[in-house]
Amino acid sequence: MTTLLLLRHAESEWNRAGRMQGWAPVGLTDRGREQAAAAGEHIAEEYDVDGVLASDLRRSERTAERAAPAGVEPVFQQAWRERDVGVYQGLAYDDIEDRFPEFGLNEPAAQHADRVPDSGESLVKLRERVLAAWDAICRDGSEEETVLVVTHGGPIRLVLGHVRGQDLSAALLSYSPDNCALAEIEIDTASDTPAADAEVRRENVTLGGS
Amino acid sequence: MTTLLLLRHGETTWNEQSRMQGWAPVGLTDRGHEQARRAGALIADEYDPHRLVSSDLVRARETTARVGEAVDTEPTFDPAWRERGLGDFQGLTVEALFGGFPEYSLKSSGAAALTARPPNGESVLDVRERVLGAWEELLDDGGTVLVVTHGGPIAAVLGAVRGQDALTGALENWTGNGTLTEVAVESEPRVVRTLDPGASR
Repeated sequence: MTTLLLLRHAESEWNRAGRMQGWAPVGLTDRGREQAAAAGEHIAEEYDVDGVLASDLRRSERTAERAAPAGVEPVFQQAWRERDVGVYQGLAYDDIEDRFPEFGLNEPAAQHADRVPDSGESLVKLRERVLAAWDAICRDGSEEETVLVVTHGGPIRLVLGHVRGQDLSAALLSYSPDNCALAEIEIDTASDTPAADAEVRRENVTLGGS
Repeated sequence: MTTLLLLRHGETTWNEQSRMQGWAPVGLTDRGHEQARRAGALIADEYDPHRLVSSDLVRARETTARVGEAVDTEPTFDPAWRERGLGDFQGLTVEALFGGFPEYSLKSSGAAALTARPPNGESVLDVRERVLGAWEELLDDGGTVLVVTHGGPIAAVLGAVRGQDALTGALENWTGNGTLTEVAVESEPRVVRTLDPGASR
């Protein structure tokens, strides 16, 4: 059995400002740094983490540095990045929902999951990228291993939706992880189809308080 | 003789916040609309452009639409006149970009910053090459051409017209929102004057 923990990055400056981040190198707020440290304490108490993977974007990198258990070096991977929103990066969420809802976070975006923002990537492409990383964990996981992945709202929604058998639209719209929310997935590594037999055990465990 | 008019777009919400725009679809502020309107009125008074070329980014399109209220020239939109693509750095404030990544600052890092290419973006030299290609196509037009574009492209053009190296050109030719610069092309192009109609209330 592999236990996979998915942790959303802590609050960033642009989360606070309500700006679409994409791949922007934006750091954590003071509150975010506290959230990440609290997440690290919780994870160290509850789990025996063997490995940490993290998106290499700044907000998740900074979260992973604080949340990884002592002695476990995070491995940073591009595969766990948030969606590249291209030229929409930096716009306020309400501005995007108002003028470009097909590239926002709500239903019009889910309905246009194949649309590629100028210089960015589609939701379909994001899902392919993230599920390839997920499949690698399922394939390479061993008995009694716990892996922490520090990533973003989009990838977490897509992995949980995949495990639950939801389509892309349901995966995106039915769930919204908070900053430093933790989800736990059990992967039966003895199964012939570990990815298909995985199960979400817990989700949106909010760490770090308000 | 060819007369080339370079108009920088009006002020945007991100100009106001000192946020690096790149290719972001950001619109003009009320002030920016007014700057563009004044520029259009001045152009209609003093020039008679037979051709209008505009960057296809939103802030240039909005400026061109305002100018079009006074100047009756059908625009063509050309991505060659876009601002520098900033890739992953789009949306950072000037302070966050040049404070956090001084290797991109022409002021702190000098000529080395000319070739610094943000992830998924363009370097200052990339933009210079792209823009000067589009500029050279206009030189033998024979009439008056209005180009609605951005601060970076205008600095690249004026630096080249003035015979400056790329670094000096980029540093010394920054123009304000809604500023119009006239370049006359006889044997060689020369800068005639720079006008800021939006500022002269």
